[in-house]
Amino acid sequence: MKLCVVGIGVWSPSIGSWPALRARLLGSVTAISAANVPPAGLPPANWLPPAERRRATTGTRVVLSVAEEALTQAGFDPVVTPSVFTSSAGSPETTDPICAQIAGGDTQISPIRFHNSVHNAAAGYYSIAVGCRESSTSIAAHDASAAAGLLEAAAQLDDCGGPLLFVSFDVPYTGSLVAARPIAESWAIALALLPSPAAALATLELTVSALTAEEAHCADPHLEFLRTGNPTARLLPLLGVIAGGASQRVTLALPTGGSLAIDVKPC
Amino acid sequence: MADTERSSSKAIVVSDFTVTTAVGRGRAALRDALANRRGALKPCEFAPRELQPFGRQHRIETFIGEVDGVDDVQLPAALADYDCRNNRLAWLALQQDGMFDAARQLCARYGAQCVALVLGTSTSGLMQVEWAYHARNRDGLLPSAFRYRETLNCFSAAAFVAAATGIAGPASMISTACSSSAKVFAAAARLIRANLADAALVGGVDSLCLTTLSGFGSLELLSREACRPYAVDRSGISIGEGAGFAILERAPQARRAVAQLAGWGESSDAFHMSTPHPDGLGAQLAIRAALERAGIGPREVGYINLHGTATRTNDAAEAHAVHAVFGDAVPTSSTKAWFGHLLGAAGIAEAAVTLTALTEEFAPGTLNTPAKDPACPNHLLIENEALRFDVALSNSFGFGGSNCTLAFRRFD
Repeated sequence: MKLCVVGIGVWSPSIGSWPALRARLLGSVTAISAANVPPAGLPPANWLPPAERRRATTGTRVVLSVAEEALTQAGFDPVVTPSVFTSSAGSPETTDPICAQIAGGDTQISPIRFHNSVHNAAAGYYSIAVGCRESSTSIAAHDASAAAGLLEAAAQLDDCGGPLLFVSFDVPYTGSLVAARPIAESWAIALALLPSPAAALATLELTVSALTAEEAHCADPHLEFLRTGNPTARLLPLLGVIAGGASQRVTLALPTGGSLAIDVKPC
Repeated sequence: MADTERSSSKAIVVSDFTVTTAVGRGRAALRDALANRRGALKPCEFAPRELQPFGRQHRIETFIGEVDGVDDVQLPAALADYDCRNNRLAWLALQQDGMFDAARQLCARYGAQCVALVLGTSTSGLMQVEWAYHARNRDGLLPSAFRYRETLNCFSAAAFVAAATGIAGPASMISTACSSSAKVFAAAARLIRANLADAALVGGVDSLCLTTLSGFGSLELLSREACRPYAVDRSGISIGEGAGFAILERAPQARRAVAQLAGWGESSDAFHMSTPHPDGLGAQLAIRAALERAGIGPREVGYINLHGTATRTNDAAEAHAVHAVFGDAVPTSSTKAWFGHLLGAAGIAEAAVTLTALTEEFAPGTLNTPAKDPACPNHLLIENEALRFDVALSNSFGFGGSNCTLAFRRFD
């Protein structure tokens, strides 16, 4: 199954957005320096109304930020673009305070914190912010969330055509849950996708294999640390091949065994 | 288009299904409860085994639909790491109506890697982490017996069901709040149509926990009595728990068929995180998309199982959406007063109700509701009616404005 990548959006606190990651993946930048210091704190999330931005979770802010970057680059109208969101845990920062409060005997939890706790909260805020009434789904598959999400995106493109917004994001738990599920920083990656060849950055040919294959790695030690520490960053080798403009196969593990082979071709 | 699709190899059928809710275990229990108008909501005295050592009462004034015996369910010894209320409920449901064996046979027939697994949940094993927080030590450390990946993680039930059944094809957990396990039908059908799988086990599971009871309480959406959908003085939802599964196959390969999955429609409200659009604009889009995909007009629909949560806003918005598409011609009902609002499992449970209505040739009414709110313009069934129809819809709408409508067609 083929899909074409027409726009890319990235955010991470240690790297920044797609141009900065691209430079890093191409090896022209090998470490953080004064010249390429990433933005501190949370990304701008310009598409969120200011009132929502103040109370939005980290997941919502990183999602809004990468969606804007990818869709703007692709020239897609967000109002008419369906979406696939994938994440291991959605907005995990709500879990610790809610559980701590309930364990303390207080069941009057904040209504906003409660609706922020649903897995599709970021998708909901996104659709409200851009005014999109198209289909949107939110899926999860633990460490293989990004691969499962790509497969869902490919099946949707096959069924409905394009355009389609794909977003993978994973942000850390807080409090007592950090040790139970360590997540290396906050990552979000968005791909603006079309089903057929276009003026694209790359085409991806997806093949599902029952065989378990070794996942692609990153040569850069910091990127490899992130790849193994954050489910969304498993897409870094794929972005590396796209950045390099080579024809190459990237392999990702699927959730219940087997693998997803992605044959990347430059356009 | 409908006729060509119906007979073509592209048609996808539901070849089997099962459901377990507060009204009982399996299809027969659901059918009997519906036919005899025997609901199972009761005052909330939720005391799961996880919280018993702490002796703390969390009193929440509401009614719930609790499944009997979940505390006593034993998972297979090899999968004991997955033990939590949510996976016990999934395992209990999988044992009914021969569904576990049917899933194993599916793997034998098609090859395990050609069978997809798409489940839905809203809260996954959240009760397990609520237990872990009650059992934290003075340093705030969770007990070492708490297993994150196998219980709290959103994919937990899918990993458990895959491990138990041997299904090894494309797998994912859909978590879009209360539309989760309706959307599994759409996602699995897409995988089959794209030849990424030959068949799929779909389903959903959500179990009672303190976070959902407290959260809906904080939103002032919990009813203090058994919910009364579409009643003029309706006062909110009754939360329930449950699990269900269905098998999807291409029609020519299926050895039997309960019904055709004729269509599905998905949309977003783009309005508010926890309140539906007042005119149900997003819901209308989902309903119209399901009709379009099924290749039918509104007049061909014989029954609609409503989302019908019994909140003021949901029922009013849904009534306007249904009326905008169908007028008052099509009989509709909400069955949430039988077993409650199952959140992430609502889609699969109400698909099971809809399939039961289609095959048993009766439409359930709306339990607990003495008379319809006159401000709701849809045609609401209060009493059960003997009714034979060819196409039925099931609506599921969730937080974040996530909407899904499924269309099932008689398949003889």
